[in-house]
Formats: sequence, structure tokens, C-alpha cells
Amino acid sequence: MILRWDRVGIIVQKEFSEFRRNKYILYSLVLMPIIFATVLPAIYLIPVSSMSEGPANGPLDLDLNLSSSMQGEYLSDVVLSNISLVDCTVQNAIISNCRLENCTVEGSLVEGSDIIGGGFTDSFVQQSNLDGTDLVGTTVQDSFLAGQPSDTETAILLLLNILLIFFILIPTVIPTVVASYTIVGEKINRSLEPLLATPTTDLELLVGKAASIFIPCVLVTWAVFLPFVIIVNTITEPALGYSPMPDAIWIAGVFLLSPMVCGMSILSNVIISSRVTDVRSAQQLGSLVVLPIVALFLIMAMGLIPLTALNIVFLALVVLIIDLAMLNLARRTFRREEILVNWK
Amino acid sequence: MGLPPSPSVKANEMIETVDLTRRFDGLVAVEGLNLRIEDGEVFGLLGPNGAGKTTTIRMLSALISPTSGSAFIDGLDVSHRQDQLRIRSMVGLLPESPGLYESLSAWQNLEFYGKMYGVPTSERQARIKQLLTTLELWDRRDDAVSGFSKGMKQKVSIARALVHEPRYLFLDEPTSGLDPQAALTVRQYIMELRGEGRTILLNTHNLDDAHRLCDRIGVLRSRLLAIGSPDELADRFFGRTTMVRMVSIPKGVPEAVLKVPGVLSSELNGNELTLRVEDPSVQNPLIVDLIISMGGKVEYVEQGRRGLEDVYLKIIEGGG
Repeated sequence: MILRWDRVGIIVQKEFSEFRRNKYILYSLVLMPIIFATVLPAIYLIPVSSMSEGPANGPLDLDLNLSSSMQGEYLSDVVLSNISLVDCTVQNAIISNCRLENCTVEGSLVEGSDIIGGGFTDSFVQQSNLDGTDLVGTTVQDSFLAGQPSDTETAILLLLNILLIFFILIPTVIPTVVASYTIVGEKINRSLEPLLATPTTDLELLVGKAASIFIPCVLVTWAVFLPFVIIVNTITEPALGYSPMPDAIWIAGVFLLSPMVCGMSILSNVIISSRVTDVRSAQQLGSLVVLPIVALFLIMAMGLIPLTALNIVFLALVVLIIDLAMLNLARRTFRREEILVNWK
Repeated sequence: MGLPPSPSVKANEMIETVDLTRRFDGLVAVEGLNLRIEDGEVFGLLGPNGAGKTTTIRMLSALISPTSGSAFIDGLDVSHRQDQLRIRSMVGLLPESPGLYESLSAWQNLEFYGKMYGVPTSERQARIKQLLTTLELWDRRDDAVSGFSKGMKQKVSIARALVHEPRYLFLDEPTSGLDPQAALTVRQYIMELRGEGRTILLNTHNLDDAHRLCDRIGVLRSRLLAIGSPDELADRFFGRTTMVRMVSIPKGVPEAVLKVPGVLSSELNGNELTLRVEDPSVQNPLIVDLIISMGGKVEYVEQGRRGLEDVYLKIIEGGG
């Protein structure tokens, strides 16, 4: 089928002219993203960040004074203090102010020690530094765990993951408003027949309509990402000690997944619009498209599927495949004969 | 358009349909329509609601495909995918509803369509200016169409159909729902277009419009029931009428004239004798001679025809 991009461009220009004169569409395109990008992060992140007393602490300064060392020993029912233990196996011991490197410890109490590697089972550790140690049935208190986020950091990162859901909703929800006006609006105004009478192809019309919705929705999503990053970093940097945004998950989410989801939303609206006759029905049915996306994100946020950049990329590819299938369906629905005969 | 010519192209500049049929879910909208509209002709399609007039225009505009049969515009086949874009670029369509973009101005509406039809910028702008000026909308060119009256919207819609200077113009109910003043303006403009030599297909319920504007008319009720010029149809279905006004009326004149060969009927109303005759040039002198020979005095003789409304109703009621 013929696709002339100059005609697509004319349709897009016309749609933009109409958008500029439609306050409802303008509000949707401007206000909703601004609220999602500024108000929401502030509401969610300020309380959590303000609870933190400061950036996450570094290793505890234990000031060890090691007087002797043991290597490869098996020790049981002992009290150990100021000793460097390397590759030892310790059972039922009280250990204080020691350095343990690659030791296997079981049923012991450890305090004020540097622990590197090794593994602890059914023990209690307090006021110590742990780095790369396996912990099984072991309680750790008032200690520094290298590579482990603090509670505040965990909370902030979890909230950021949830905010990503809201951010993906921007290019999902806006098309339900805009598409319902541009497509169902044509039906209501009865402006489709003269448009279809021009020497343009069905594909040009479909692409022109879809592009006129896709371009502003994706651009506005990307545009508000910058203030969002600034706001999030400004709020969380004092609590975390570093700027968490933008990371790979967000970059994949905003620049890859959101356009795909936007496409899905637009195409579902094109298909829905061919079956309904008023703008409100189109909006209500069209908004249902957000449900599977939200469900997937909840699954990720709950940890059933790890929320990683790779998984986001994979999800974007899945949505792309869905988009292509829906495009095929939309093309079959968006045929002038179907439109003229069935769109009443 | 830059498209290669298709094998279906004929050299004729006209509209032709051959057994054109369209069904919708078993319902026959148009059946076996055979029509030939010559270049520069104004052809009116008359018929009740649901008679298939709009479906015919849509098929001829290459908007919907025939179920069977074929139609050619300028020799291009409406069913031929390659021809459809060319047909649409040659046809100007005025649909039943104006279907304008209400939030856009008259100028923006016409600009958009001018671009869609590929009219070059300078030509497009000059054309839009000329159309809006002719249709007395130039001063309102930058106003949103939503504030226009129905008549003004119809004028913009007509301008839209003409923005690309189409050779073929399909007008679906152009004066429907307009007040008499607006309808007159639209009718006068169609008369102007007729003078420019365009081929015009006019769907209308307005028999007065059809009589004034059309060279020929076709009466459609799914099938084409009758076709011809308004006068031809009146003659075909009612014969020709002669009216004789007399100063004095001898007794037995209405009965006596019936004996003149070619006189089909006679009816006396006051001093006027109305007769249906086969050929006025043959029967009229014989009738006048007869009245005078019977002692009557003829004031004048007038030849008349039945109106299109009578013709239309007779065709529709009689099913052709």
C-alpha cells in the first residue's frame, strides 16, 4: 500500500492545529505530565527522605588491636579476643574485637569485629563490619554491611520503581484522551467522508492520525523526564549521598518502553474508536489498556520478576510485538469502506 | 499524481456505470445501474430516502466498492485500486453533511484540503481566495467554522469540493436544510459551475433544483426507474398538454375534440380546455379549426407540460 510521508505530515499538521484550539487536549498534554513529573515524586519521596538522618554510613571505625593470629584452626566453646582468624572454623564461641577472614562460624556471638568473606550460621553479630559474608539464620545489628543498601536507600529505591509505573502511565493515558477526540471526533463531525474522498491511502490516514498522537505524547514524556530527574535527585541526594537518577532502568523505561506502550495505547484506541460512537465511551474503554501494564509493573515491584534494565528492554520488545499485531488489526479496522459503512 | 496509467483507462471523458450493484448485508442499495453521463453534463439523481443515491455517489467517488458491475470515471475503473487515487483527485465531493473541522477557520479547512489534493502553494492560496470571495466568505476567512451558520458551512464545504479544480463534481443534497436565501446562493453558484463546463452529478430531493439545474435526471429506487431530461420525462409519462382559452364555449366541445386523432384526453375548467395530445404541431391546428367550426371563439392557445413533481411521483408510484 502506498505511503506518502508528505501527506502524513499534512495530516499531522492539521491535527496539531486542532490540538492548539482544544483546551481539553492541551490540558491533558501539559498538565498531566507536569503533575506526574513534579508533584508525585515530591509527595512520595520527601517524607521518606526527610526521615533519614543523613547519607548511609561507611564502615565502623573499630580500632582493632590484634595481638595474635590463627590460620586453618578448628575452635569450639572458646572466647576469642584481639585475634586475627584466617580460614578457621569456629563453633559456640564468643568473639570480640577480632578480624575474621574466610572463616566458618556457627552458633556464636560476634561483636566489634571486621568480617571478610566466610559464612555465619545461627549466630548473632553486632557492631561489626561485614563484607561478602554469607549469613544463614544470623542476626546482624548496628553493623555495616558492605554493598548492602540502608533501609532509607531501600525505601527510596522501591518508591522510585513505583514512580516508574506512573511515568509509563503518561504516554499510556494521554492517548486515550487525545485519540478519542481525533478519531471519534471525526465521526461526530462527519468529517471523515470528505477526508476519505481525498487521494490519500488508508495507511497514510492511519499513520497520520497515530503519529499526530504519538509525537506529542512521547515528546512530552521525554520533556518532563528532565525536571523529574532534577527533582528526584534534589530530594534524595541528601539522604542517599549520591544522585540515583537517571539509571539504566529509567533510561530503558522512559526512552524505550514508554514509546512502545504509547503505540499500544494509540492502536487500541483506533480499534476501540471503530466500535464506539462517543468520545466518553472511547476514553473509558481506551483507558483499560493501562491495566496490563500496571499489572506487569506491580509484579515487578513485588519482586516476582526482578526490575532490571534488561527486563525492561525485554518488556519493551514484548510490547513492540503486541504493537505490531495491533497495527495489523488496526489496519484491517481502519479501511475506508469499513469506516464509511460501519462508523455511524 | 505520478501514477502509471492502468490497463483499464479509456479515452472517454465521462461517467459510465455498467450493471453497477451494491449490497449491504443482503440489503440491495443499488442494483444493475446503467448510466452514462457525458462530459460537461449536469445530471440529477432523484429518489426517496434509502434509494441508493448516496451509495452511488460513494461508489463513483471510489470510496466504496461495487458488489458487482463496474463504474468508470474518465475511463478509470472505480474498483481498480491503482485508479482509485486518480479518481479521487479528479472528483470534488460535497457530502450530505458539511463535515468541516469546526475548531479550524474556513481558510485552514481549505488549506488542509488543498494540500491533501496536492495543489501547489501559490495556486492553492489564489484559488482559496477566489472561492471564499465568490461565496461571500472572505471577510470571515479566519473565523472558526464552529461559529458559522449552516448555509455558511455549506458554502465552505462547496469551496472544499472545488479547491483542487475537479473536472467532476458530485453534490449530495447541496441545498438540503438551508434557508431560502442560502439555498438560492448555493443554487446560483451551481449554475455558475455548470457554465464552466464541469460534469456535475447532483443528488437531490429538491425537484425545483433538479428542474432548474439538470440537463438530465435519473429516478432511482435501488434500480434506475427512468432517465431523461425533465421535459422528456414529462412527455413520456404524461404526454404533451395543450391549453385552449376560449371567449365563448360551444356545447359539446370537450367531447368533440376527443374525436380528433392524437387527442388523448380533454378537461374543461371554466373557459379553459386542457388537452393531452400526442404531437401539438399536428393536433393543435385541428383542435382550433374544430372549435371555430362549432361557433367557438379562441382567445389563445398555450402549450404546457406537467411539473417534475407529478412526473417524479408517477415514476415512483408506478415503479417506472
